[in-house]
This record gives sequence, structure tokens and C-alpha cells, in this order.
Amino acid sequence: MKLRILLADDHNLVRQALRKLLDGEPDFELVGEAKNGLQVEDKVVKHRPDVVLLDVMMPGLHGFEVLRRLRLRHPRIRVLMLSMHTDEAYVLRALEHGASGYVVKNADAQELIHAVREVGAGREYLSAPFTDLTIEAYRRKAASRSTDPYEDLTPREKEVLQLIAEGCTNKEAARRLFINERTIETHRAHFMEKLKLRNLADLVRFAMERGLVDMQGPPPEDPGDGEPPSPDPRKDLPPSSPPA
Amino acid sequence: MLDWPHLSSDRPQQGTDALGAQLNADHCLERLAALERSLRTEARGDALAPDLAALRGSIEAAAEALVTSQKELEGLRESEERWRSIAENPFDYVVLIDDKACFQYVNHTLPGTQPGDLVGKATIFQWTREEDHPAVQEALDEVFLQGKAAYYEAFSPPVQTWFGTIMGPIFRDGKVVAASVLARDITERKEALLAVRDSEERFRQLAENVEDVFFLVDPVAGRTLYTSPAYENLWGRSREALLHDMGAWLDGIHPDDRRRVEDTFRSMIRLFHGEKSGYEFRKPVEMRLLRPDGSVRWVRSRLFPVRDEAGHLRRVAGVVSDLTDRKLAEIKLAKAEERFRVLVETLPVIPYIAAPDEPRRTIYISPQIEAKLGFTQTEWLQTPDLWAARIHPEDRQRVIADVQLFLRSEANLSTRYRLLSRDGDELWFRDEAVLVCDAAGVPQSIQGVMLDVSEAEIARAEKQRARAMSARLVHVQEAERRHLARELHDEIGQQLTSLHFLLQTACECPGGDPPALDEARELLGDLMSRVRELSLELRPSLLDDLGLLPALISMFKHFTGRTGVEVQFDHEGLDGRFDPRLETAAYRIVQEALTNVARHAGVKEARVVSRCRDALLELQIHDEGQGFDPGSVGPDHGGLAGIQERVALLAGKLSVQAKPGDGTHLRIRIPLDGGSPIGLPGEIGGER
Repeated sequence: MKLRILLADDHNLVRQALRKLLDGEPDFELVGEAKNGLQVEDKVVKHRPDVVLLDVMMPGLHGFEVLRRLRLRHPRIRVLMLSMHTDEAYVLRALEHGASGYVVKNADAQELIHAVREVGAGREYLSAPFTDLTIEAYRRKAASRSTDPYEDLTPREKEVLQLIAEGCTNKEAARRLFINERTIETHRAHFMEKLKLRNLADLVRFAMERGLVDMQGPPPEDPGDGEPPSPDPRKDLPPSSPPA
Repeated sequence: MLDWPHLSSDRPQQGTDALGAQLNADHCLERLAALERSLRTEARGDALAPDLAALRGSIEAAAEALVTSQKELEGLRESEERWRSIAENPFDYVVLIDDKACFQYVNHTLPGTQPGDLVGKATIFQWTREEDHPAVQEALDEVFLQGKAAYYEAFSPPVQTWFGTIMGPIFRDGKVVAASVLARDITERKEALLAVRDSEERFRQLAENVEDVFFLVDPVAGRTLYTSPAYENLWGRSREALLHDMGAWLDGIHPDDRRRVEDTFRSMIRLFHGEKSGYEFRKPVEMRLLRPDGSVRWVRSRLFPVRDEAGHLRRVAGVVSDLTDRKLAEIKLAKAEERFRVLVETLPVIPYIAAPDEPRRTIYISPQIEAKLGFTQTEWLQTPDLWAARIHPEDRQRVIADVQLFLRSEANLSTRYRLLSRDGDELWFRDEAVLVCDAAGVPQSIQGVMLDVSEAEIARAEKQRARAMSARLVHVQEAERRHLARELHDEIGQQLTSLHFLLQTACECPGGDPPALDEARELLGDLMSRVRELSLELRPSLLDDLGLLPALISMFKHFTGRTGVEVQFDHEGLDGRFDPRLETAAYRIVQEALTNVARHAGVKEARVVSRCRDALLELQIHDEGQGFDPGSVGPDHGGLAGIQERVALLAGKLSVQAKPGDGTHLRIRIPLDGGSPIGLPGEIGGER
């Protein structure tokens, strides 16, 4: 029994070339052709193909939309996407919509025929540059993650934040980093804004939550005075600390 | 002083010896008998009989005593004189009082009283106003304690009459037991006297205490009759000189004013010599005084004619007032007013006051309006609907609605509109006004300022046009790129694809030339890649097909491939689709920023963060490269202008944190509902 194939592509030349290519295979039967996205479903109903060779870019209805509808209404029919696009995003989108395979149009004729057979046999096929691994890598890249505003900080801003959280005044921080006190102020204003912190108390809380400073508070400046370290880090805030 | 019938007239020769005294006593008794007779004819005569008898007894006793005592005789004689005067002046009030000042006898009934009201009941004090009581008491003391006659003048409130009262003692057994009182109505004289005294006093007080200088001059005699002390203060000179020379005051006049004042004074004097002169009395003359201490006072002098009964000029009275403070204030005020006027009328704003009701008549408008619109201040004030008529037809309805809203609400007016000048030019004005109400809240006037903002408006329109143009350019460029990209990708690409497959088919045909075909296939493969890249560079169809996130990821991959710069990408909330304009802008912004990184930063890594949160799309492009000094380079540096333009078109914000050696950090925030930028049509959506 021959594999019934429906060819959906809006370019006559492409269809012509593909027809020639597929006709050469004895176990293939080209049952119909669609010239645009809207025709595909009618032709599917009419010719009941096993495999639809579907161009991603088609006038009338986008290939992905055609794919979605076919999967919804004719789940038995397998779809092999045919595309000029070599971007993983398209492949992933095609797979997400239920395509069985994705072949780029600059593939070898043999590869294309092989892909049709694979899909017709109920397996999946991805064109040469794509593998499950690359798709997965792409999926990870595209996955939304919660972005950490702390990572928006420049290395210098992170340094200043660290020092301030440890109880340094602007002046002390400037001295430690060998930069101008005004520059410290600028950095401080920047990271406060980026982290949406309103005051020093917010800053210390943030630093503690992030583990930037020890929950026990910074080590006392002069351990020789015999006083135990304060368990309350707020006690070690500079006197200019505004009320929370 | 007092018009009192003199006691010395018509009285018998005073005896100088006892016989004379006896004769006098006899005469006295004779008169008393006559008085008794006369009293008896009156209704109350009988009632008085015992008193009269007592009186008689006392006189007889006195007469006896007088025989031996000249002094006693004198007293008797005085007493006799009283009684005589009583008899001779029946129209005065004749009263007898006891030592308690209580009425014992009254010859006439006082107005408003019944005869019985007084006798034995009222005292003389009750008939005298309180402030005269001491005088009454003094007289009583004199009469009753010292046995002398006394005189006083006092006002009697019950009858509203001034009385001149003479009081004489009535002795019995050498003691004063009663007093005869004769009271005469002196009201008329008293009041006249008081009136004179009052006016004299008033004048004196006025003249002496008021700072104005009063004077009285007899020009004919060339004498100054009176000058008030204030002269010395005001002129800073003594009054003495005036006594000798009525023109001495002229010496105090400021040299600049002296000639004028002197001429005026002389023309006044000529009137006294029967000559005609243009002088007018009462007309104020202002002048300056130069005082010996060098200070200057402004004064105003007015002269009044004093005429005799025949109407001839006799004297001149004058008042000189010190005007200095007022004058200085006036000068100051005039200066302030001038300053204000100059300010108002040269400021670039045009203040106006308009009536709050229809028609909105212009009450005041700065004359500058003429320079702006060609209508004079007068035309504005006289043509009630000129303002409304000159509003540009396209603005009129809106402005009138604005004004009506302003009149109803408590908000101030703030609007912009065009006015048409006389020549038909359009001028843009900003009009700001407040409604001024009276205490009851009734609108009184609209007070506002108009500011010619044509230049600003033109600049604004210019800027708007430029922005719209820029938006248009961006849009057209993007559309063009998309079109080209599609053309390359779809048309050329698809044709190459068909060629590619056809070649493959040809290869498998027997009798072909595999090496030549293989070469062709290779060339075709390169061509296809090149076309794809070109299309991608122009505009990735990915952006239209799948959205910003895949497009960015794809961009980074190609960017790294092309430049070797790795892109670390963190994103949050970018999964969905955004407004195509926003997607395009974000894509292009990141693209341009990365191009800058590759070109200028000199680093092998860049970091891009993009998050969509709180209806805000945030993009950050960081590199730790060379950075630059934002202060030392223009905004065009490294393609920032293009980014700035795209951000501005979507009402976003760009912040650049850059410093030499500290990398470059761009933060861009674009609101998702960035509005529709002026003049920018919706972006042509990609085929999906």
C-alpha cells in the first residue's frame, strides 16, 4: 500500500520540483496539491492523505495555523513541515503544534524522501542541523525565567552595595574602593533604583535575604573592646540610617 | 460786668451816726411794712405772716442795735437794700431760703412747678446743676457763716436757664437764720459769652495745635496780625520777623519757587489797592520751602479774603499746610505707577481685564495688543465682541467652551488658541485668567494675561512634524525592509528552492554530468544561504511570525556567529506577542546596541536583559567594555541617537550609564500602551 501524500506549497515551481521528486518513489502516491493555506483542509477531507507536506509560509492561512487545525480535526494525519527557515524557533513551534517532522528546503532530495517515509511510518524527523538536543537547548533559552534585578547591577555597584550593607558610610566605602565619595553616591542611587529599595533599612534587609551579609551582622570594628557582637544588625547601621 | 441794678442808686444817704442809723431803721421798717402790705395782697401772703413777723422783729432788733453800732447799722442798711431791690425788681425771682438752703418763699412760680412743690421741700441745690454746687455752697457759706452778701452764676437744669444769683443774709438775734435770694435770668448773655469763649477757644486750639500755619494779614497796613506757632516749625524761622515785615515769609520759599509765589502774592495785594489782577482767593498755591537747615518741605497755601460789612477787602486770612509727606508719597506712587505701567506695557505678556458676562467687554487691555494684532487699545475697549470675533474659526468653539467651563468652575482659565490679526495673520496665544469675585461671590471681572506663543507653537508644530516625519521614516524603512526581506525569502528563495530540487532530480537522471551538477548544487546552496542571511539582516520574518523573543534569540545567535561576541540573555515575561511597533522597536534597539558593543566596546561578551512587567517592557544592554564619557560626546555617539529616537517614538525612557573604563549600560523602558505616536499609522502586520 502506497503512502498517500498531500503537497501544500504556494509556489508552483517548488510544487513542480517536489512533484517530480516524489513521483520518482514507487511507494509514494501524490494524492493532491494545495496552493494556499485555506485549501489544505478541503483537500485533506477530499483526498484523505497519510502525510501532508506543509510549507510554513503560505498565503491565506499561515502554515502553523493550518497545522494546528489539522491536528485538532484530523489527528491521524501526519504533518511534515517544509521550510526555508533554519531557525530553531520555527522547529520548536512546529513541534509544539504537533508536526511530526521539519525539513528545511535546502535539504538533499534523499533526505526529504527519507523524512517523508519516517513520518509516514509514524516516527519523527528533524532536518540535519536540528536534533532533540538543539531543540531542547533552544527551549531552555526561550523559557522565561524570573530575572534577578541584582544581576542588573554593575560589578562596581555590587561592590558598593556590599560595603554599604556591611555598615560602611559613603566616605568609608569611597576610601575602601579608592574612588570619589560622589561616585559612591551615584552608584548607590543607581542600585537603589534598580533594586527598588527606598532606604537603608530596605537595603540591609535585601542584603541579608540575599546572603550578601552574615545574618549575625558584620564583625565588630574593634573586637578588642570586649563587647559581644550585636545580634541585631540594625544596631550597626550608620547613625544616618533613616527610619524604616 | 453784670447788668445788675446797682445797689447804690436811689438809696437814702447812709447815716454816719446813731441818729442817721435810727432814721435809716425807721425808713427800713417803713419799707418792710409796705412789703408786708404788698405780700399780703398775694395769695400766699398770710402763710408767710409768721416769717414776715420774724423778719420784722429781726429788723427792729437790728435797728435797735444799729443805733449803737455803726457796723450793725451798716449791716441793717445792706439788708434793707436787699429788700429794696426785691421790691424794685419784681420780675426777677425772689426767694427766701433757710440755713439748709431750703426754699421758704418764692415770688414767682417757677415754670413747670406748682407753688407747693418748692416751699419747705426743695433746696436751692436741686435747682442748680451739679457742677455749680461748689459755687452755691461757697455763696451759702459766705452768707450764713460770714454774714456777707454773695453772688454767683449757675445753670439750672429744670428750667434750662442760667441765673445770676445774689444772696444776702437775714439776721435774727445777731445770727444769720435765712437768706434772701434774688435770681435773674442771664441765659442769653451767658450763652453769648460762652459761645464767644468757645469759638475763641476753638480757634486758639486749632491755630496753636494744628500743624498747619494760620495767619492774618492786613495788607493795607503791611502788617501781620497773627501767625500761628506752627509757622516756626514749618518755616524753621521765628515769627518775630513777620511782625515788622509781612513779606518775611517769602524768604523761606525755595529759590526755584520764589519768583512765582511772590508774583502771586503781589497780584493778591493789588486787589487791596483797588487794582484788577487775575488773583483768585481760595485757589491753592503749592510751593517748596527751603529751611535754614537745608531741608525742603512741600507746602500748599490758600488765602481767604476778610471783608467789612460794606464788602470792602480788609484783611487776608491764610492757611499753609505741609504737603511733604503726601507729596513724597505721590511722587513715589507716580514712580511706582510709571514703573508698573512700563512693566505691564513692555512685558511680553498682554494683561487684560474683561467683563465676566456677555458680551465679554474688554475693560482693560495692554496697548501692546496693537503691535500684535493691529487693533488699537481703544478699539479693543470699544468693540465688545472683538475678541471672540478674532479667534481662529477652528479654535473658536473650543475656546468659548473653555471660557464657559472656567466661569462655572473654580479652576483658572488656561488655554491656547489662535487670534487673527487685522491683516489676517494667525498668532498663537496662551491665555491664563482668574475670575475675580466680590465678597458675596458675584463675579466682577476676568483678569488674565495673554502671551504670544506663536514662535513656541510653531516650534512645537515643527517638532511634532519632525517627530511624525521621523516616525514615518522609521515606519517606511521598516516596511520597505520587510517587503525586501519577504521578496528575497519567499520569491527568490522559493525559486532557488525549486531549482535546488530540480537539480537534485536531474542528478539522479541517467546520462547527466554529476560533477558539473554537483558544482551547480554547491553554488546554489551558497546562494540560498546568502539570500536567507540577506533577508534575515533586512528583517527577520521570525519577528513577524513568532514574535520578539525568538527573534532576539535568533539575532544573538547570528550576532555571535558574525562578531564572536557572546550574548548572555536573561528574559522574563516575553513569551507573548506585543504591539508590532513595540516588537520592531525593541528588536532594532537591541540590534543597534549590540552593533555598538561589537564596534566600540572591545569585549567578547555582552549582556542583555529584557523583562516585561507592570505594563512596561524593559531592555538592558550591558557591556563591561571601554565605555565612554556621555558628557564629552554628543547624543549621536555610537548610534545612541537612533535608539533614543525609537524610544521617544514609543514614549519610553532611555538611560545611559557610561564611563570610560566602566562599560556602557543602557536601560530602556517602554510602556506597553505607549500610545499611538503622532502621525504613525499602525505597522503593517506580517503574514502569519
